[in-house]
Amino acid sequence: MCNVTIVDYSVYLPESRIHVKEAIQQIKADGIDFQTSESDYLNRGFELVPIEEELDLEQMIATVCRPILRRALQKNVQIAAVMFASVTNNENVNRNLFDFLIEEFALEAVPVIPLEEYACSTMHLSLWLASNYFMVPCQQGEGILFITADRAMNSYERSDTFMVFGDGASAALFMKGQREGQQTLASVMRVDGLVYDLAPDRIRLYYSTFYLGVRQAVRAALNESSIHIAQIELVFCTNLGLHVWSMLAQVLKVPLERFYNLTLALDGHIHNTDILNNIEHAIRTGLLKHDDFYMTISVGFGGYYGCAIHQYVKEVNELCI
Amino acid sequence: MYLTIHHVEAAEGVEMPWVRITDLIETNRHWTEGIDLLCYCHQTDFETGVNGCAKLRQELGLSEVMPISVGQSGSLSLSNALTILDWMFSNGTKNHALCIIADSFIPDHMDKQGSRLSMIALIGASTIAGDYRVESCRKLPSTSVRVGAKSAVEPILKLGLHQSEFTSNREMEVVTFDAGVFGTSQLKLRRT
Repeated sequence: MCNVTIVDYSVYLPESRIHVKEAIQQIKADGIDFQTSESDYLNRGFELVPIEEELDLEQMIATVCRPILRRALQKNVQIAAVMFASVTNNENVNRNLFDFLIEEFALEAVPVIPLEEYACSTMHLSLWLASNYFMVPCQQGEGILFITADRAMNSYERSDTFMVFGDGASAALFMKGQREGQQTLASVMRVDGLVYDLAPDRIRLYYSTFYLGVRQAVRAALNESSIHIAQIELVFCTNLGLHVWSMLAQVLKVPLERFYNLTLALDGHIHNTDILNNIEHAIRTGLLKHDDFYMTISVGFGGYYGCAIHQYVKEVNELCI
Repeated sequence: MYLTIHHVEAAEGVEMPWVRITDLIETNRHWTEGIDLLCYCHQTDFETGVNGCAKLRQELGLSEVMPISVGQSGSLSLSNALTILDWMFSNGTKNHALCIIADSFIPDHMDKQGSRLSMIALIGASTIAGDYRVESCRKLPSTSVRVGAKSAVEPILKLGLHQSEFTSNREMEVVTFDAGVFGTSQLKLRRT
């Protein structure tokens, strides 16, 4: 049984946006064979793409981590490890993206572990790894910091020919069973890992079978948490577009309306940031309420599927203790 | 956790080391017997757009095994991988892993055109037995330096050749993973 609480999180999206039509025209002009027509892509619910114009990747990371680390410091939370996911920027040879933070928060002895290959499912991989870490006795007040940041430097980082990626960063602090925060009742990772290069036959196979991987992950997570799908108020899924969500809704037998769709048009798909961005948005809009059960689903290109069942515990009523 | 260093090499050549890695594992199938995890660590990318762990997992027919890929850690790659393995081993459901640490790059001094230096380390990690018992694996609170390690394999070459720093205890081998841009970490191993 998973016993991780997302006690804190932070999301940073650049204010600057371009229209998805403009983004597609740009990547096509740069020689990318984008697979979908502009009108089809708009029909999937996409509209704008956040583009970072001011901060570099290190500054984006610092922007999302600083508030979390400051609050952690106030509450005497010891950071046991940092897990980092960047789908776009995995070649930072000779550059430590965490130098400023490490110095500012005296994290020199904390391992910073960049996890690769799970693409947009690395958030769930990190949650699953954290749940393993917290399963054994560990020191009270330990936390694991998950960080993700992406900033496309060129059209090849802006698109993989199937999707247009926005820039953004987010971070979450995982702790063992706290009373307040996003409780995680189950966390599951399923891996096919079908696609490892650009071979078209494997990519085709992935696109025709990924929903099976998602279904397996979702079923396993529901089983583990003993929660029935009907109890799930909201589904926060990677922003892959309405066509993918409709298919998943059908396969999972969840009404499409439960898929949280309010960031899709304005923020689009920002790799591992989608899920925290959606949760943050749903709390801000009041659509995710205290005590609600919800589900997070991530799909990593190539065959990586994460699912977790959560409950939002906004504040603990002291009288109930 | 126990470690067994199956194989370590550094070789010059024009080919990417994929075939070399799969050949080594195919001829030593006992290295993958009963493993729950396939862990791939690298600093350099052999080929843009190729996911090394997924590729090796598929080509070696290890699709039941969970892949873990750690990158951008310089010489700290192995210690980062061991940190993750330690978490996964600790709840008792997973007990064996094969770590593939591999890098291939064109060194500055290389004269021959197109020739690359490829480094490979294959290490078994287990909760049950191995040549070394891991006494500790920790990141040291020293400052990082502004020079990056070229390969994630370098510190393991040192260990594979038994050139690690001996403490006063002759049975203990201590490998300090050099301070690169990512900092320093230290692995203390005791021979079993």
